[in-house]
Amino acid sequence: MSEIKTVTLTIDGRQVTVPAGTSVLEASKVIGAEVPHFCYHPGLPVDGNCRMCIVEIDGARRPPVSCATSCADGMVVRTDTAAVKAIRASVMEFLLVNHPIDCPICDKAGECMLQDYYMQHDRKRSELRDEKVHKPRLVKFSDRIVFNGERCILCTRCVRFTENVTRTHELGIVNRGDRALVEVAGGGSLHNRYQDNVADICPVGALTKTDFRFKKRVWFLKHTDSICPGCSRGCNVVLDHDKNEVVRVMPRFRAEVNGHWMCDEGRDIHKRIGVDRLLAPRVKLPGREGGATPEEALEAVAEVLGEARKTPDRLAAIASSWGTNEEAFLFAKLFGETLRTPHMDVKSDSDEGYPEDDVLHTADHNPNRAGVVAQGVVPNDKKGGLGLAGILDACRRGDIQCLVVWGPGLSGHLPGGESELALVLSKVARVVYLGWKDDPVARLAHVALPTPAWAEKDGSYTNCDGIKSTSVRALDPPPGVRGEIEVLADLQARLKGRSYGRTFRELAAKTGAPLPPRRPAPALRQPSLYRHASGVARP
Amino acid sequence: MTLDWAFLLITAVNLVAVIGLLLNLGGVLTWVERKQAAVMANRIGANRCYIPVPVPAKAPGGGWKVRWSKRFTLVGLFHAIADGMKMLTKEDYTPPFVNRFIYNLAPFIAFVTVFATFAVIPFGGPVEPARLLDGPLLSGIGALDGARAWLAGFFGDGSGAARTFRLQLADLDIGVLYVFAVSGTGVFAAALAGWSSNNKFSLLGGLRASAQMISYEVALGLSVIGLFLIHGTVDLGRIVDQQQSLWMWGIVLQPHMFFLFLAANIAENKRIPFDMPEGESELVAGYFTEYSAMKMGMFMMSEFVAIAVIAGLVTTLFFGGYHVPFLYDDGFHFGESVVPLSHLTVVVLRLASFTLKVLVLCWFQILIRWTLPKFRYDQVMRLGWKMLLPISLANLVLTAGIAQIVNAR
Amino acid sequence: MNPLLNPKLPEPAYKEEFTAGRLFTYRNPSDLTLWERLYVPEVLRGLSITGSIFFKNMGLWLVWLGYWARGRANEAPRGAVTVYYPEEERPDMTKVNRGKHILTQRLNGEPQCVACYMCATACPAWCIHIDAGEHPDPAIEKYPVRFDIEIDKCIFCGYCEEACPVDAIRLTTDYHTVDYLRERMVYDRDYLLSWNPTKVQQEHVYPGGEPRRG
Ligand code: SF4
Ligand code: SF4
Ligand code: SF4
Ligand code: SF4
Repeated sequence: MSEIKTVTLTIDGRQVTVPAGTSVLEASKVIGAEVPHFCYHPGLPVDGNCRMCIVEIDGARRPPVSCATSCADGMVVRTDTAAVKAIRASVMEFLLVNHPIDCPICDKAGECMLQDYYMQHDRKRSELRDEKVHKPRLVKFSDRIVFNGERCILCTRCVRFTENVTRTHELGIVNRGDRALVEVAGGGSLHNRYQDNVADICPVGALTKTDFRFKKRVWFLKHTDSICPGCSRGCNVVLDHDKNEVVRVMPRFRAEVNGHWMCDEGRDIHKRIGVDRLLAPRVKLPGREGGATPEEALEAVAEVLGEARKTPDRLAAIASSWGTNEEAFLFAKLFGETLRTPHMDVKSDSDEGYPEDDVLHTADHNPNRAGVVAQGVVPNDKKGGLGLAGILDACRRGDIQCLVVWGPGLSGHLPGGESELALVLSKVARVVYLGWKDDPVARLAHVALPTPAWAEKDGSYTNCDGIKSTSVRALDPPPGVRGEIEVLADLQARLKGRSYGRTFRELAAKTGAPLPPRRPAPALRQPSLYRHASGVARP
Repeated sequence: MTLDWAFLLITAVNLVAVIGLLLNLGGVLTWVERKQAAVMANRIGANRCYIPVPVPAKAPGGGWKVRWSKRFTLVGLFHAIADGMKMLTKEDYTPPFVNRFIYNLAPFIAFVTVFATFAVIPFGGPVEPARLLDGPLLSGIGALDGARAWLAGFFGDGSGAARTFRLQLADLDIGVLYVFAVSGTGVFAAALAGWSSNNKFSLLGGLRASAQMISYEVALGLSVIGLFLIHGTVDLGRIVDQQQSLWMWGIVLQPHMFFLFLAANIAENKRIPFDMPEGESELVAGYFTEYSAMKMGMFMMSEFVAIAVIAGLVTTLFFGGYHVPFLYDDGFHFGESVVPLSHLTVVVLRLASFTLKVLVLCWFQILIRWTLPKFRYDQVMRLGWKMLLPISLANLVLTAGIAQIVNAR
Repeated sequence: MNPLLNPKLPEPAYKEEFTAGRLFTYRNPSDLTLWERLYVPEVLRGLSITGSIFFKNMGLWLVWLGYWARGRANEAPRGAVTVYYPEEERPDMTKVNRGKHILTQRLNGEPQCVACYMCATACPAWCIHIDAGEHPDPAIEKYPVRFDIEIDKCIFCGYCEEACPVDAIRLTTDYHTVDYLRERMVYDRDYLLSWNPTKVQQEHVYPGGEPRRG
């Protein structure tokens, strides 16, 4: 392994050692000297057109842009001299010459770099006495993205994104000077599956998402670190929510998982939370029909499992590939150890979604198949355990007396779909369903227990590359709905099994989940004037 | 032993008069308190409650119709009635965490002790029922002869001599000691209410109440012992008898003790400036935070009735009770000249005198309540133990010395 | 006290007292004289002040009775500085009172408001609720689909007015916000827009000039 070459330089009087080839801008971040910038983005090639990141370097003929200057040994950099400040102020003034400053109706207000830098570095009135240049506004780049030419500061981040990340080359800059404009090449529309990212990286409100437009002012949002369950990439995301409702999903930087990006399917993933929910438990056992309280339903499940325990060979458990590692851990312990069934497997909960591509999206539309398997939800080969297909066959033959299904989507594994499912399940004496969707299984099961959606619980997920990410509970689950961890731990207790803990933090030690940093409780109102309102470190 | 029907009748009349008047006075005082506060503060005060009165009004299409006027408000006097109705009809909520028995008992203790105090206060002069209709005007009316004969017969002692009765519920010879004992029992109301409510505010209020009332009970008792030394008795009836002359009034003999006694009494009654146990600004409502409806109303009522009781006590001890200056049993005596008055007139004048004094003293207590700011808790304690107690002790020693000298001569 | 005339500054205002084995420092020692600390005389003085006001007002009431008997109650001198509110109103109500809100209008009667949420953000009582929508006119772009003010929560601080970048929300001098129904105390967009300009101009004053229309 080759030694990484490092260089040592002085920034604002402080020594800093960085790998060779690092830009001065990145090096300044190390010591906390924030160099303002618009066009530089760590996930994109350097362009150096905004001139905001200019610093003074001893010996340089004139102040260079720090994003395009590599660190060298013995360099002496100053980021806050009077000259640098004057340059920044001039750049700001120049950028604002034709800017409409319609912050009141601009969705970016509150997390706009232009706004923030204006407050930090300019704070002057406009000297312009002429009519500002008018450009096209409300241009639909696609169904998802609306472009406002007047607000654009021509940083070309969006252009570079389509060139280098998606390599679809839709965007380009046409015309020169104050007529320059971002346009979709050939008059078409954006057609890649990552287009919402351009609205994220746009430092101003020139590109906005139709989905989020006018929904919420960003300073009302609370931010919770989560993951996207759309595919087995498990992109790390931030859920921006308010009043127990997710309003938008933003990518969270994680170099080894998703870098800075996420796909458009993930942006809409929160819309699935409210759809087709199983909200109340259902019990259809003889003598226990009708509505049941969560407590009674749990009692019923314990009764069914207690019965099934006598013939572990005739008990089968199918786990969800949307479950978290901690839940899978408890699931494996409950069925493998306490109830001793050999028949355990994991199914696909969802098969809807984008096809696989070479940017982020994978072919498996379930976030945690790898993790659930890794926690031991696999057929016990030594005792002749059956896999998913085997379990379904055994059911059809009537060999299974008690079937536990965790999560929706079982009918997707049967060629005949729902009608075949009804046939198969009719041969099983007791079917128990555990899940957040009102699935066909939930309607056929003898006991169905509602569980929270992924945004409503804590848990860790292992993605297709085996990397674990933790998702923090952002929303309150519907009233009366308890998390799988609690339910499984309760069942474990009722069936006299070993206790492994009943909270995420207790179980995280066993599954090796990265513990999320405890975010300070959000201020009731986050002041937005001098900070990025999102509170999320943004490049 | 035969029943003394005459005595029973007089007692019954007394009982009805005392309880009826005190209760009503308590109600009226709630209105007086509000209205007086408003007048003192250049405001209008309670004025909204009305009894609808039908008045004829011109109908729009000609002719007449009945309109219900809202103008009959009687300067807001109906607010007291409205308050009473509200308290009686509101939900009487008992919080689930209280000690039910004691919680329900406490307001009754508060209520009963206050009323019981008044039992020994003489509110009118001696009455000879047989002579009631003897006045110069009435004696001429022959129609009353029958009544007169019945009175003489019923209230006679059998030997033909007329009996004299006191307008006083219980003529106890331990008089004032009974007052102190009963009002000391009143502490239990606040302490038990605070404790049984199982609420921190209530408990603090109850604790404060017991501390404060015990502290001031001492000064309360000591401040009037001087008067007892002078009068040589603790029987309130005897004390009032001795205040026939203006120079024997307590306010003349011991004016400084008047302030002490009044202050201690107001503290006993837990009113501003001594409203630590209620502590509206820090304890919500103190010991009766958890009470609602009429139980809360009973605490409030007992507070207002206590104002009247205090006024009665102060009148009795310091303002000559029912006595009118220069008025003797047979009429006004100005030096040698005598203005003879009938017995009925004297009785009525004395009743009026007592009532007037009580009303003025009620007014004065309300004036104090709306003038003085509240004490801090340590100030209350300091005032009680470091000022009132030493002063009343010193007064006791001094008075005892003087009384000794005067008696020795 | 003028420090130029009295160059010697007074002693620092604190007092130390050794009580119960501890040193207490009082930052604002009482500067009462002995007479004042006797308390009773000062109490009597205070009582005489409040008492005299009481008697003065009772006297005025008698005077009022006299006027009332002659049917001229309105001309009687008044002791009370307060009024019977709904029947009477104070004649000296300040002309810059902050009261009910209005939303200013464009020339076609649409709200001036661009649904920027600045007022909702500034509002310390959190009583402004806005839902933004896409306006058909691209020149306007954003407008409030819903604009509710819970007037019973409003504390009439005027921050909303000050925060508004387009002068879309104004507080008038109208203070008759009371109602018997909470539901009626939520002013919706249409109510806030329904002010009659002439009436408002005659009856209520706008600090800072006429509201902009259009
Ligand atoms: S891009 Fe920024 S500065 Fe420009 S209008 Fe939007 S928020 Fe304001
Ligand atoms: S639209 Fe945004 S990202 Fe694209 S060039 Fe303009 S400012 Fe930059
Ligand atoms: S006046 Fe103040 S409290 Fe009332 S709506 Fe405006 S900002 Fe909110
Ligand atoms: S501040 Fe003005 S423009 Fe913005 S939402 Fe409020 S009223 Fe509308």
